[in-house]
Amino acid sequence: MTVTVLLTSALLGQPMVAIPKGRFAPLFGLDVGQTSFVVGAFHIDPRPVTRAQFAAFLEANPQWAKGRAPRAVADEKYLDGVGATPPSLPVTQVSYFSARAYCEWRGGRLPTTLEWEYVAAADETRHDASREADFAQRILDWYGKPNRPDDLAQPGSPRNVYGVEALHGLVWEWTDDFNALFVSGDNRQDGDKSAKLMCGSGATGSARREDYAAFMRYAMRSSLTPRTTLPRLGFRCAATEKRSP
Amino acid sequence: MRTTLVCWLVSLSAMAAPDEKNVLALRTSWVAEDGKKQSLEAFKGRWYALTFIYTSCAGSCPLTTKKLKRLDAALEKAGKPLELAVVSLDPTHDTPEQVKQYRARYQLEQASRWRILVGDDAQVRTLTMLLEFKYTKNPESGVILHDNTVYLVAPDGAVKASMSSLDEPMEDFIAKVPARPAPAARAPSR
Repeated sequence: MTVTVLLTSALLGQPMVAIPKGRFAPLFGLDVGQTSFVVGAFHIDPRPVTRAQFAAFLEANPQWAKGRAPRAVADEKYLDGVGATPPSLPVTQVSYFSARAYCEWRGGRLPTTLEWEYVAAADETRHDASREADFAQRILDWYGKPNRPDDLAQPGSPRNVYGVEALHGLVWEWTDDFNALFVSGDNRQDGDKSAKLMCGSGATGSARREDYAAFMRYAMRSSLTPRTTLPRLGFRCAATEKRSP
Repeated sequence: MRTTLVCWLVSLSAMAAPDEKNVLALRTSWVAEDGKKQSLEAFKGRWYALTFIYTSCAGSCPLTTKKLKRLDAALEKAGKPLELAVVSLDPTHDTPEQVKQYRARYQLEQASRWRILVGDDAQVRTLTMLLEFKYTKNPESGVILHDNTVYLVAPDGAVKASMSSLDEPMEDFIAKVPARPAPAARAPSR
């Protein structure tokens, strides 16, 4: 019985967690005079999608199998080495398009960057800890840690006040509009007027200079294409209405 | 109307060069100005230009529209006119009436090669991702920040050229549009 329950849980994942409506100031995106955005209520997976869950999707949608998905939707490393990792671990080496297709198959969608950051700003007791030095440092400690082969087996950040886990400390995650930040490579070279990610001016133009961890996430997302696959890049799904796993 | 990423995936591997962008890699569904549903499959077999605007845009879109008019005229003059697919970035507000007003505002009522397409947010996200065209909508002001790129799409959906819809000269873009084959010689009458 226990084995069955565990297997079911591994295959289907836990039910999505309800996230209440609120206001949030993302690091980027606010116009002059805006201090925060309303984030509507939504639901989100409590943990990243696992290999077992993604395998079920591939079985039902063989056109997304490795070797069949065209390069226009996934790079040449798509699903490389994924078969060698335990099924309960987060799936990685997945492109944006494949992650989005998985979520749609489940009746959901990828979270928007605003939604993801809103949930990821919470810690175990605070809904928005993004300005708290201790919280930021815990995340930065992970970002600063060299990758190890067993990292995907780590639990990731503990369950936060919403009931969502592993938003930090496990894998980077796709968001529906991951590339929607307008940046230039380096203003000293590009000569345009977008200064948001250029050294010091990048931080001063953001909503909160002290949240360097969020700055790194935005920079990371900006480096991706929707075809990119990486060993530490996974995803979780969201839904506006609650979905069963 | 949902993006059917799961159910429809064209097997492009055989025809597409590695890493080539292709607007047909995933199906997207739109509504044309006549109110009928239209997929980009409808353009298959023809070269066309594709870009994005939204009708209430007061920033770069007027410049994009004017450039498209110049492109349209230049292609006609070069003897290789193209259809221009103009996709709305703001499907919620770009109602048929708004599209009609947009045509009137830019004297496009008779622009028969223009195809203004409106879908939903998921369709827009899919197509813009296939092209790596960036846009973001401020959820409270409604202002959309977006790239300014015009794409040259080949008969198989592959993107063969692109240019800025703002300040980049269009000669290179036009040069990449293949010349129309000369009309077949008529058989001599007996």
